[in-house]
Amino acid sequence: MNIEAIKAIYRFEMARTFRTMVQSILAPVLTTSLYFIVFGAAIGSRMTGIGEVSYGAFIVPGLIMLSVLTESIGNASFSIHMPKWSGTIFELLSAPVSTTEIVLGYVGAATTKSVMIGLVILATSTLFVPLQVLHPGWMLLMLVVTAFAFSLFGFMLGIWATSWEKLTIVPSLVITPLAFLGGSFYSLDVLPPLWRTVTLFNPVVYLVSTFRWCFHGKADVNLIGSIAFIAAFVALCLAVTTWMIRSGWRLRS
Amino acid sequence: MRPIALDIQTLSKTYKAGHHALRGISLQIPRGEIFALLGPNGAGKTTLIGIACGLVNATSGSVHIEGHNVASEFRTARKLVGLVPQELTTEAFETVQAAVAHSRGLFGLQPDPAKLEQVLRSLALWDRRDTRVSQLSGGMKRRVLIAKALVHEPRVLFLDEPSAGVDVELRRDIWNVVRGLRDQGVTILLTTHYIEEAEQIADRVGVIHKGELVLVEETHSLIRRMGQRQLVLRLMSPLQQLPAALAPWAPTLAADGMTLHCNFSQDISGAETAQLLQILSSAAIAVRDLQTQQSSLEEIFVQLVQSKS
Ligand SMILES: Nc1ncnc2c1ncn2[C@@H]1O[C@H](COP(=O)(O)OP(=O)(O)OP(=O)(O)O)[C@@H](O)[C@H]1O
Ligand SMILES: [Mg+2]
Repeated sequence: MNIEAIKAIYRFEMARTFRTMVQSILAPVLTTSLYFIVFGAAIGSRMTGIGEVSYGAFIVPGLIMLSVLTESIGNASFSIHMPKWSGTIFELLSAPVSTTEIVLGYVGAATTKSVMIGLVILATSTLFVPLQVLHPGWMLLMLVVTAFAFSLFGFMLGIWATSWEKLTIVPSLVITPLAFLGGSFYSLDVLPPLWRTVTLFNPVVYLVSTFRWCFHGKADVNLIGSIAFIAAFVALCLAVTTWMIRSGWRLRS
Repeated sequence: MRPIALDIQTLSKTYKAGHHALRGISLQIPRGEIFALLGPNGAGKTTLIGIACGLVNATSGSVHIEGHNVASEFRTARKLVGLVPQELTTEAFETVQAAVAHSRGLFGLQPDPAKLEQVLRSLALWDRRDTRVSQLSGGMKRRVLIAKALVHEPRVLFLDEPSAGVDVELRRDIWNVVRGLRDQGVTILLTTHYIEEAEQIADRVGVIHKGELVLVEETHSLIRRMGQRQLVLRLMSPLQQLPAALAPWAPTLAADGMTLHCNFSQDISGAETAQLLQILSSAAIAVRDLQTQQSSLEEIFVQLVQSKS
């Protein structure tokens, strides 16, 4: 394995993150704070808590997931689409690297950034609501795994997209609705049975629910099922990415 | 015989749109040679380099770098290859130093500050090492691209039109670097539209036209074989009739009778010129000025391409 290449790509990507620190970290923090002010403080105070948890605390895991999802996809897709578009990708294509190095470098950096954002949001939320994390180890693991899975997905998207427009279409038309309807702001219990069943086809529900379990010890869905789902998603993305890089689909002419 | 550093066998490329960019090209370049690939726009030069460097998938045929197949043994093969692309594409926000160091890492080598400094200095980039690449001029960006291609110490270097749009100084620097590499046994394939350049630097030239290699020959022998030399004489007074003694040189006289062209098939040796001048003086033809001309690769190239199409 070409360890130096992984380091080079990772460092290069992290340098980009730190160069755009304000935009990369501050923006999600501001957005989340706004959510807390609107949902947590303004509306939440009129809402009864869910279970024993206050509404403000209830939405924390969902808000983190929401940001991690969109940030992971956005960053990873940009990181590979940009060089493809500008032409600098020639160097990566001519370098002695295979899928492993490319994925660990690019997706690893995007994952790092998303985890950082997730933790910053978590810290921010403690300014607004008293927070408990029942299973911190699992919480961290879930955070990392989710960030990795969706960074990988974003990476695929970046290779697939042949234009900047296509790059934003999937996140805005597919991921954002799924994320918002993924139970970030409500418990599945409040939905009528029909909608509840429909919701169970939304993969984000499993992520949010499992993540919420790490915080409050309660989940809407089966934990083992959720983990199996995430594992299957990662495996599928890995298989597709490997094929993309090996065959050079939309990378080599 | 020197070992073959670049071995191209019946290489063909048909782009998705159906365009045949390469049609069964075979070419062997021995280690340490400077090979210049000439050809009009769209001939397939960049495509050929792209396949050798892993940017383009070949439709059929194979490329071996120092004995390693670029497709099946891509790790070993690509480690040996450096590429300076035709287009100026550089990461904008990195500093020169970071961009060049990044390239070394990508090729699997540990950081080597001494090597980095040496490469940057050889391309007059050392003083600009902390400048962002986006703030450099076009010529400077090309220097960065060359540095990026050299910093992992490739054994085979591809330069795709390295001198397009560069000034005299940079061109001189590039050729100095190229010659220095050749002396270390690095094999170099370059493309250029400046034919005088190929003439000056290349050991051999290949002419590619519409995806086919129409000629591969040693630069000197090509010029000797196809090159014509002419002696151009400007006369003091108009000449009415050509002296019969000039016949061996197939002379032509300009319409005003003031300029005389004589052809030499080989180098103009002093003796031949003296003999010619002797004939002129005995015929009382006064010469005001004389100069020799040699057909360049450019003319040879145009002839070749025209005879093909
Ligand atoms: N990605 C591509 N898709 C389709 N056709 C291509 C692609 N790249 C090159 N071609 C076509 O292949 C042919 C050869 O192109 P190539 O870039 O190899 O030429 P070249 O000899 O490098 O020309 P130039 O001197 O202009 O750089 C051209 O007709 C070009 O239009
Ligand atoms: Mg070209």
